[in-house]
Amino acid sequence: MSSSENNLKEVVVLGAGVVGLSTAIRIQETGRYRVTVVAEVLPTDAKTIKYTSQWAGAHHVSFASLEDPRHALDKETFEELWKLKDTVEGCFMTIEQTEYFSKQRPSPSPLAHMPEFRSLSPNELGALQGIQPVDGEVFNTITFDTPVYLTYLSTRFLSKGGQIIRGSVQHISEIAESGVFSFLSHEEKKHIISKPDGVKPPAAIVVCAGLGARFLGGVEDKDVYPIRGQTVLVNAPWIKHGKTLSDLDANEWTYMIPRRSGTVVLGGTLQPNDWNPTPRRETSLNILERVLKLAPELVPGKAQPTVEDIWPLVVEEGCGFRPGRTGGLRLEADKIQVPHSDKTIPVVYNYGHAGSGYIASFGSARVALGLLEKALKE
Amino acid sequence: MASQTKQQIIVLGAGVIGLTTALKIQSELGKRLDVVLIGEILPTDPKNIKYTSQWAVANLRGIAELEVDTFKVLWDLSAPGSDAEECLLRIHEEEYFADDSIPIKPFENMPDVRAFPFALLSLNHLYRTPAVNVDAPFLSQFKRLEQSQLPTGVRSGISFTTLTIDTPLYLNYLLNQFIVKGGRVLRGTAQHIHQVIEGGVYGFPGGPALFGGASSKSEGPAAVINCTGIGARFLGGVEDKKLYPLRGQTIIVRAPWVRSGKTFYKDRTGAFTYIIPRRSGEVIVGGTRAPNDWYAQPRPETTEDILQRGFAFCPDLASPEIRSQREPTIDDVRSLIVAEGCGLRPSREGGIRLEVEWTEGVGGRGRVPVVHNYGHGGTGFQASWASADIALRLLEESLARA
Repeated sequence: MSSSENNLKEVVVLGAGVVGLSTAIRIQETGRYRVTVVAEVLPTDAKTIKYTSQWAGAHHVSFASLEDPRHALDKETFEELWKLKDTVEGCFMTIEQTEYFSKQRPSPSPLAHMPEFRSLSPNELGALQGIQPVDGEVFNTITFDTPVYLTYLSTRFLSKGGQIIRGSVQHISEIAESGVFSFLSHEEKKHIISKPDGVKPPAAIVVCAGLGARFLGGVEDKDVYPIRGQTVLVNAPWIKHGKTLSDLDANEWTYMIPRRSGTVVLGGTLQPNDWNPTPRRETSLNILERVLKLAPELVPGKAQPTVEDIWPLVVEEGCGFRPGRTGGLRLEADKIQVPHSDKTIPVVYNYGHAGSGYIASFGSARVALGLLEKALKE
Repeated sequence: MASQTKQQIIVLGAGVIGLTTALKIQSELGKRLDVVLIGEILPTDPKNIKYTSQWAVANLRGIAELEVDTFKVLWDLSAPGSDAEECLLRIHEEEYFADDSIPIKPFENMPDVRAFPFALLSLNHLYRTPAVNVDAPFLSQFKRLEQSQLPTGVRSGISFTTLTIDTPLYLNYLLNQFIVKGGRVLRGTAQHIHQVIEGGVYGFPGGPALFGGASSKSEGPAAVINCTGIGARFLGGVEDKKLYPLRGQTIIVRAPWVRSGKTFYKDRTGAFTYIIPRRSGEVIVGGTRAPNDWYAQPRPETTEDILQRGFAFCPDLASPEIRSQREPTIDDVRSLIVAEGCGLRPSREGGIRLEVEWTEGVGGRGRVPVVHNYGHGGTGFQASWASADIALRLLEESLARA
């Protein structure tokens, strides 16, 4: 181990979802920290409702208005990923995306910075059978093959010297007391104990626990709540564009997101405080009905396909809990006590992204890094 | 396949409280109810800090109401020839108090006075009145110790006959009994109690998948019994902030020559040192009580402290061979250490929560009762049967009203 590595500060990141991994990477790539991610679920695990990131579509389409500080985070993330897509195989697909709205869009549009952006003409708005959107926009963006992208993030992190440890942290004070020590194997522990000052608190903790921030002892943020989203995945590799129809007043959210692999993610629902972790058949059928009106091209050769027509293409029904938060994304720093000492260490919170985890991932990670560095200087 | 006509009861949590409660309900109401026990961790699993029951010592030293009934059940189970014989050991126990003040105002200042062996409140009663009117087997041998019988540094002491429980064995005994009587066990974790109320056994992560993948309206349970211990702090929809861990660290040594137990109470904080033998020949040396300490691994400095205290209190931990040859040293006991452990007693401000909470409209369902049975602190084992009894009664009343 080189002496420069000994000067690295230890940072523990809790959570290995898109936000946790992006944040860990951002911190690690400064070269000043040794970063360890501790998480219950890892990207390579079988899908589970406890790990939202695997269920996401995903496409990069920001929901933020121009005045919203999230807008800058989303834009920054998009620009980074737009460059990344040319160097990373397998994760991204560049598509033309059409957004239909039930309300008039502001001018300038919050999405005006997207490549090849333009508003839809009244003719184009009238072209949908049985749907009357009030406004529409089209632009280029990327979609994520989310399981692949998560694996990419974790291997990027590991290849630069990061460590990922599986562990269930009941209370944040366990990490504040001795970092990841209690999660190590017996052999690793032996060697650390034998050194003077071997077992010690980390320099800082970063909480990227998503919905888990509600149940992580010492954080227990009651403002965090799930916004359930159900999806239907179909095998339709002929789809190379994306569409969304949003009518938030009616709480309807209908979308089609193609992945590079040929799987297309169809959705969706916005169900706050609905904890049901298994897909409901009635909801899947409803999603398919709505999407087929928006995108009949899903079933080639049929002008008005029905659910029966698309059912043979269905690969999976799924659902995930978007990590919502009353009051919005929590991006701030605080201090916590190191047990049995009068020392405190900084904690940075980066959670509560709701449906914009991928969308704001790198942007919020950069802000978290800034908060971390500021706190460590004090 | 369970009959569709029976109502289903789901018990959450497979610790001593969950197991005992599920077994009680299955035994009494199994003919008309389908009882399913859902636990994140089962007694067959490797030890885990989230599962307190495996770390418990445990011995019984209570005679408060909740505990007399439990004691009777366990005393019968400890009889030779019983199925649970290997799990239990009848012992002579001595308790010493460093000063007179300890039993008088035992643990008023302690946050979990109702959860702690509130025997000490009862012992206070015993001190004051010569006649003892409680019908509990071990009390018939209850004695106050003479000054001459006390070790140095001890102001007063008592002795009685009680039981110790080999907790991992006993937990598996309970699980076995539950299965033998027709109960079902599933592994799973509910993030939120609504998942269980709405979807029953299909409603929670890790639960069985319905044939065909997606669920339609599957029937939820008629009632849910919440026995999640410390987990009730983090179970969505319960999130009881009054729960807090009272961390205890122990050492297990192999010392089959130790066949009686002793405990020394140092001061009013509840600080104590104890030596508790199990039937198997293992002896538990402890202890510590640290509120709000969540640290999931034994701390080496605490292990050393327990070892020092335990050895000073009971040099007989060293083997008879060594003691017949020379004065024992602490290293003679250190070499007998089999394991170190720590557990988080699920203590609760205000005491055990044993009550019904009615939910309505969850997943489109009507009124569904949740019977809460958690927050037993350090007295889970010794209040297990009595708590289960009360939970059963609450369940029966709720089902009659629903």
